Amino acid sequence: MDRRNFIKSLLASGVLGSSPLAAQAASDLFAPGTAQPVLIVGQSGLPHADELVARLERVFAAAGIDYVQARASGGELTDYTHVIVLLDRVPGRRVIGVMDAAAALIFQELAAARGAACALSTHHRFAAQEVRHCCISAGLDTSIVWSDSLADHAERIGRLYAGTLAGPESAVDRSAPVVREEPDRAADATPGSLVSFLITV
Amino acid sequence: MSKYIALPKGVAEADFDKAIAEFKKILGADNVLHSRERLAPYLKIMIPAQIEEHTPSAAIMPESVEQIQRILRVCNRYKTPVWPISTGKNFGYGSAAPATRGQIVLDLKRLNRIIEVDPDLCYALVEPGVTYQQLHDYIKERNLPLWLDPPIPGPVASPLGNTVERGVGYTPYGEHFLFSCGMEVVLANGDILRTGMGSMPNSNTWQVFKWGYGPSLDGIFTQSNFGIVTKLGIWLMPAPPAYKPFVVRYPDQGDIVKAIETVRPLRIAQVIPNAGTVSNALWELAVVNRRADLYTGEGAIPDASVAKLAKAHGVGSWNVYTALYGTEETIAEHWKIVTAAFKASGGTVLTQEDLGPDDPLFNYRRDVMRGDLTMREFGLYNWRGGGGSMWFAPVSQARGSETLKQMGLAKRILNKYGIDYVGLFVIGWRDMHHIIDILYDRTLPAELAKARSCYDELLDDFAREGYGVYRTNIDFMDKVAKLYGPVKASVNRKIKKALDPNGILAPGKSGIHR
Ligand SMILES: Cc1cc2nc3c(=O)[nH]c(=O)nc-3n(C[C@H](O)[C@H](O)[C@H](O)COP(=O)(O)OP(=O)(O)OC[C@H]3O[C@@H](n4cnc5c(N)ncnc54)[C@H](O)[C@@H]3O)c2cc1C
Repeated sequence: MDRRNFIKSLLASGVLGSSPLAAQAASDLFAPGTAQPVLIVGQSGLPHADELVARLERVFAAAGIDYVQARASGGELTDYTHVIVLLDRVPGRRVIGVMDAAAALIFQELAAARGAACALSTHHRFAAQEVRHCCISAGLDTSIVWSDSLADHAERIGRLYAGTLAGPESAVDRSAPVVREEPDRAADATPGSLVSFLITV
Repeated sequence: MSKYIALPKGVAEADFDKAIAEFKKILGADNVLHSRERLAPYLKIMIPAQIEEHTPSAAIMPESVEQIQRILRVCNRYKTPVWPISTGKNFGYGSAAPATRGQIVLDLKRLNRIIEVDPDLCYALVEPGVTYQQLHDYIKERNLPLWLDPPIPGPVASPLGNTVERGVGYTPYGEHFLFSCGMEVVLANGDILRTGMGSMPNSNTWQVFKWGYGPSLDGIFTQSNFGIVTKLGIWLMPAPPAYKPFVVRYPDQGDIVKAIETVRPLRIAQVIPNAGTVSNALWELAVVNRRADLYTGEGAIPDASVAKLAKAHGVGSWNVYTALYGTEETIAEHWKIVTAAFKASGGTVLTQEDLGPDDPLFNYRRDVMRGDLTMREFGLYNWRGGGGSMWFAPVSQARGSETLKQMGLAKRILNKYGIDYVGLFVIGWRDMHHIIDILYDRTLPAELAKARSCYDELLDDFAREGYGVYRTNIDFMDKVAKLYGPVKASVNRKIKKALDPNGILAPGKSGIHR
């Protein structure tokens, strides 16, 4: 199973269990095994970020993924010294960030400068009724783009990160249809946007 | 199917296998990357280019000059081209990706030694992988009274990488190449050239006198592919006893003329000594706001709405950020001169005392104009979201009428594509670097295509008026080289042939091919 299908299968509706297919798909980079809990860094003051972080927590708890959470304001996340202090505290950790585009760029670049590898990065654009996602992964030659209703999207994203993290031990019920890719879909005129990512620091 | 994600042009896979095997022998397998996963950081771009056209075949990471020499021997043997980067943070110009597909990124981040910092003569000698942050920490730890001059991505970017690309900062040492002194360059045949006084055996004047003897060569190793720069001397500013940053706000778009006519004589006379900035209202708004929170109509934000927004948010149509440096006494005298000049031109002069301690726009400018590191300006990437950015950076005379003309030209083209004019002028000595951030959503193919076409048209229309860019991105290097005319291109080609007959160094950099 290639990386693209692995991600798409994680995006399909289903539950985490155990599957050898996921094991095939996960490389050391993609699912870096570590005993330390995953750190979720969520930007406070952004309702969509709050919602996504809450959903990640629920999905991780259900999947038995150990995590801790840190909150930071937009101001703190664009203050690079604050991010460096945070990164200093979590060497070797897997970090999920949920923040605005500027903060995500700063966070990812500061982490990359100290050797972090990025497994997944997803841009979410919110419109009145739906959310458009564009996901890039270290192993993909092109991004995967799809849309979800505003009500459902967080669950799918939660599963995406949970499945990626759990890697070799994880599994996904792939009986449900995978997402329909829609790279050319037009943007709504009044969107907010958010970035989520998974890196190993 | 190839086991590589790309191959160098004209190189057979079997030969590439051999080259990779030799690189592994020289560097160890961990420092030779060729899987898609490992190359991911080199594939991440913000410009509206198709990454397939810039996909590297591999990335290799030497840690010494001697390893670079050995790498070049392999490259000459198998005709495998390398694209040198220092820290590879050339955001908005192509980041770490090469100009053409299949090149091997020569990532110099492991050459990260600060070789020397001289606190008396105020210079540093650094390798490519040294970041501004590293140099900043070094100076702070030793309590040296020296200032750096970082660009905005300073915490992750390299003084050497930025300078060879002829980048800018915001202190009086803002024109980086001007304040560099002495290079070490590995040529394609493995020879090591030290420029200026560095060619003299046992010289101790390499970092203090630029020119040496005979033709001065440093310039040909900037924005070029004639050599790999492995050491650079940079001059550091002695920390002044006093510093006074300020902003002058102008209410109308046409006031760019008054702003520039006022600042130019002060800058040329060195009353205002630094590379300050003159930013438009949308720049100010974009650094600290999301566009969707301010405007939801179709297309570029119209002038009338921009004017309203500027007023509501307390920013000028134009905002001159600059500073005075010296002793309390000299600053007090110069302050009288500058405030009189700016007030007479209709500007409102404001200092930290007027704005309070928490003005994010003033504070980040205050920081960079004294050489501190801040990434606050990355807030620009929340304006539209979607991670797309490309700098259009034409040079203008420091003359009000010229900046007005460039603004009009740029706005007309940008707005035609529905893109906001988010721009500023960096105050050079006699020029202005007109810096426009083309912000777009990179996840939307239609926006990506529009941004690309817009840049193309900007280049053409500016060239028609005689304006050229000071720097460009990996996707437009051939085009910009053409705009600078056939004689320059032919001279470049001749130098290239003489120094790099196999064309193994960064083919396509600045439009220079073998
Ligand atoms: C928000 C934002 C603000 C920015 N502000 C500024 C700014 O204030 N000033 C500014 O100048 N830029 C600015 N930039 C653009 C860019 O990010 C910086 O110029 C950055 O310093 C370049 O990256 P680098 O230092 O890692 O150089 P690199 O990416 O390592 O090098 C740049 C290029 O130089 C060549 N090169 C590098 N090393 C060598 C070598 N050893 N030998 C031969 N050739 C070499 C290569 O062609 C390479 O592609 C900004 C970008 C963003 C996103």
